[in-house]
Amino acid sequence: MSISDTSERTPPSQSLVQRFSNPTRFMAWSEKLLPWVSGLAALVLAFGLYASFFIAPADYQQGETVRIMFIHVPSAWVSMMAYSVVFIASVGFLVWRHPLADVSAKAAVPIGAAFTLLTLVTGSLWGRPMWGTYWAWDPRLTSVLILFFLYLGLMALRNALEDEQLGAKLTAVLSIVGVLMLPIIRFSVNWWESIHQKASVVRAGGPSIHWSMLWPLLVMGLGFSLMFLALHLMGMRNEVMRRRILSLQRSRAGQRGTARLQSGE
Amino acid sequence: MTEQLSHGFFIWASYGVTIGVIGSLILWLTLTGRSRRVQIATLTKEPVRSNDE
Repeated sequence: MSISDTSERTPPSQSLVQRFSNPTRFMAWSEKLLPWVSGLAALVLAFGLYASFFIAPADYQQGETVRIMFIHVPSAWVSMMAYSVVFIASVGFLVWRHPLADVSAKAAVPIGAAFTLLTLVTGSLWGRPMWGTYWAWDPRLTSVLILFFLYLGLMALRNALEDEQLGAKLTAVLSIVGVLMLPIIRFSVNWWESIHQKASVVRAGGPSIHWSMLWPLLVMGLGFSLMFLALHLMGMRNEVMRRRILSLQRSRAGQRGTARLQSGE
Repeated sequence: MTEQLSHGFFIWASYGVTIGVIGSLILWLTLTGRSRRVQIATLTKEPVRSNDE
């Protein structure tokens, strides 16, 4: 099935997921959903930023620098969430051959790369005043850097191949292999000696952050997640449109050829 | 070096970079979407010609 088959109809026997993942239906429902998700993300982020700067107290050790945490930690969450989306979509593409799964994987990669870059930069800017260095070859920092290179590798691999189907398959395989990075990043602070602090939100025994700082962090986490959803929908819509353009150009070229043959040129 | 830079510098630099990166991402996705919509509209309206010009 081609992604540009805009006239296809989904039989009523298909599942809800299959119905919504029809490219034409996707373009229709995502167009309606996008302004709501974007608006909600903007509202939640605005409130989260206000809470991060004006409600959350300064840390007794870190002082005001703790405010970097309110963008660093959600960026790290989203960088891993984006990779989870790439992984699930890649499995979906390889198993069910659904073109929208490939669209989803492709669209999530540059967004994930951007958030991983933000994680590294904001972490570095936090590290200089707190640890006395912008960078250390620490297991957590190094594994996040590898995740960033993995995202770049996925983009490079797809763009290096002219055959789009082959590119999609190979990037899906690489994405599935690369998912090993997620547990490595998550548990790197437990498995090896690390200057990075251990998990302080999702951990056995409950969060170790005081509630006055935890709730603004969770609000920012929700805001970043909604922003990722909005950006991912935009990216997916752009990719569906790119494939539609290619399909239209091919059919136009075919029609021109037929018209030329009929006119005897 | 750090002694000369206040903590405020690191905080604002972090938020500045974040706004810059996310803003660029939004701009790139918005402009790409807009240009593709225009391209689809052009291709859909364009009449089929027998010769390439």
